[in-house]
Amino acid sequence: MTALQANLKHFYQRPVMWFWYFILAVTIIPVVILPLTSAWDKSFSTYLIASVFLGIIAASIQKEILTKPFSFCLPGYQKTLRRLFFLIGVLANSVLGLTFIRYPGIDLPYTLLVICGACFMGMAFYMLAIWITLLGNNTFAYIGFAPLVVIGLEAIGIEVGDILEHVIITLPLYLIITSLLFCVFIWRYLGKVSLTRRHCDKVMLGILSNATSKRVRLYLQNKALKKQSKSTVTFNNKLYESFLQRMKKYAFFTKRRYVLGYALMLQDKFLHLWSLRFLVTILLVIVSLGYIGTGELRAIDMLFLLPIAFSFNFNLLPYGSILLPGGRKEKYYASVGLAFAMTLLIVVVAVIVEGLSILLAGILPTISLKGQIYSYQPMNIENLLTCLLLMPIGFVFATLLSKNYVSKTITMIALLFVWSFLWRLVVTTYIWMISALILISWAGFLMVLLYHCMRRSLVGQGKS
Amino acid sequence: MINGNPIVQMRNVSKRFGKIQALDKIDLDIKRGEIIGLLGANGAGKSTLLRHIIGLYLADQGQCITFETDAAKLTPKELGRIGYVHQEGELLEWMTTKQLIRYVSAYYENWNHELEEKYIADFDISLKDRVGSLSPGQRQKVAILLAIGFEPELLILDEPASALDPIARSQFLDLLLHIIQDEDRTIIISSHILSDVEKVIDHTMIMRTGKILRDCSFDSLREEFLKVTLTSLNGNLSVELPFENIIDCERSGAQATLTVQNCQQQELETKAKDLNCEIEIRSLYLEEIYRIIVSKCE
Repeated sequence: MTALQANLKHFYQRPVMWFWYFILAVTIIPVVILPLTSAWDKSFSTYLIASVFLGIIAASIQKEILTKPFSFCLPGYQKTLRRLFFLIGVLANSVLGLTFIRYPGIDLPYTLLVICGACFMGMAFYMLAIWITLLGNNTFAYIGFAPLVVIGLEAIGIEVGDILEHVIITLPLYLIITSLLFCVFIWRYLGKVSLTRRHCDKVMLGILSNATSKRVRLYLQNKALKKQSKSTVTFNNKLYESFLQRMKKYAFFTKRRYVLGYALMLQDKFLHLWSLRFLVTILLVIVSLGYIGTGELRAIDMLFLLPIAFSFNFNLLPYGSILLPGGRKEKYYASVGLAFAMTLLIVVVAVIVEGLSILLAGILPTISLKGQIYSYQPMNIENLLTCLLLMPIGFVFATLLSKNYVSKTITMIALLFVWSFLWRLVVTTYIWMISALILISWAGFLMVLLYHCMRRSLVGQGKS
Repeated sequence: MINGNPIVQMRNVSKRFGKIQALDKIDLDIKRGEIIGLLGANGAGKSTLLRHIIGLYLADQGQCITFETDAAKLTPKELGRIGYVHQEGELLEWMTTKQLIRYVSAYYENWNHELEEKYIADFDISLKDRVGSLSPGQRQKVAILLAIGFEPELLILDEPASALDPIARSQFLDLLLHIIQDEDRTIIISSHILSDVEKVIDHTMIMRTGKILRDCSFDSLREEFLKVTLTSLNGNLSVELPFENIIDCERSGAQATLTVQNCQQQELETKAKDLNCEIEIRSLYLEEIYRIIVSKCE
């Protein structure tokens, strides 16, 4: 088996990849089918988004493989890597470039040149995505800024889509040469040994990772500890001391002492939260999301998804193999206490954010863009009920599926999808029902957790 | 001193993980004061057995009693008498070593601060470093300190020395020898480094595919298997050697080296005399005994 053949196995052997292929298919198929069946539309030039997405997926997989020291030692692996990238890129972009096949007003030879130019531009975008993914740690964050830049440019009258279309149609030859040069640059970059050395044996989480709760925890801890400043260290130390002193106030081997100790053990979950940058980011998100969407479809309400996502990833029974004097009952009480404390904290934070968004609604100006009026809208506090309903369900899945990040994420997406339909029905017709559902959801959580704590193994096989 | 009252009892304990039978109808008694060497290949079920004792795993079938309590219902009081070093070496990575020691010690009434200080000095543990940044050996040292700091009655060591360097391993053995001077303390040590284990244990359990192949005192095991070197005093040895229960035999001219089972030393000496041979008898090393027992079951 050649290194290339071995590498290709990564693309179909892991079940999680099929999830990403589904997303990719949903993105790419319309991009290719629509231009072939319909008249030209300038929105077709967005095929480049599919190229970028494909580049991110291809590079993310390889980045994870590169973290395994084995791949560093494999002879000729690096050459295989770039060959593979180019193979995928050429195949995909040859199809995506066909977007321009029905472009009006140009003859057949020139159409072929335009298609060629479009293919090369797609290839350049694809390679750019690969470059950014391999170079940085926060690919999605960097690339996530692209739509904001596009919105910003369009706000000052620069139509990005029109420019891209114009370049492809009027300057195909220059486009081919420039893209070719860029691809050569990336080809050379991918051949550098420093690339493999850079990623070798790094703890990372990606779309292919076997994201066990322990791995996620270690990854987040490493990240948080690296970013710690003097003030965050002081704050965390104070928090540590305060919990330790409180813990010591209770007698040895009592539930209270154990529960407080348990809470202290989980302080790591908040290590990365206590920074100014985190608070500024939250504020920016509240400000920007308030302008997006209207009526019932307001982006700012999406903030309520965060506590739900958090609950799906909040393992209430971590560090199973560290033996501290706490039996199964104590673990149960500690977990329940933590779940309630977390929910209470989230309610408090939600109320603060709600208050802040109401305050901002009175201060922030209304913006006019391309004839559209954008006014700031505060959060709808009704969504907090969704949090109270879905968080215990999240805690249950976080406990039962603690080993599998992907299963948890898919379950969460499915649950939110179903709830998005039921929500309107419940709110408009059976508002009383929501209180009953919240009670049932919490009762279910308590029962499942009790069963888990008392009747199941507290650590996985061969795991901690 | 071994006390007749078992502190751990397992009766007919079975545990299955999917298709793997991790424990298969295990029966055992661990008595107070025993120093047990739990031996077995990877996947033999050693860690699974240890985790049943502290109630981390629950048996699919059978019962495990620790300190006269069902292992599933161990309370903080019973758990406060057990020290456990686990092979994965999971610790609270985000704390500094000092914070971690203070944190764990806060759970135990009888935490021995003198022992802690001595251990930190002897094992050269850095208190300022984050646990997550420690080398595997340093982590293992911290894990051992956390397990012995409160002088537990039952100390469970699951591969405690695997990450230690030779000097630290030797220090660790000295420490164990010091700990076992307390005659009421029970230690279960699971390790692949059998040369280390045999220096401290007085009881042996050998596991294979979820079953206990042997559960007996180490002395009886050493008496059961002997290595005999025969040197003929008058030329070559006869083709047929009149010994029973020979497990292995290597011959070279006037000399033969035999591994025998269940033979009396006196009887061997008499037969050697009859053959006009010089005889040298020694007990087998634990590693040799382990190989024989496991290979007999294959």
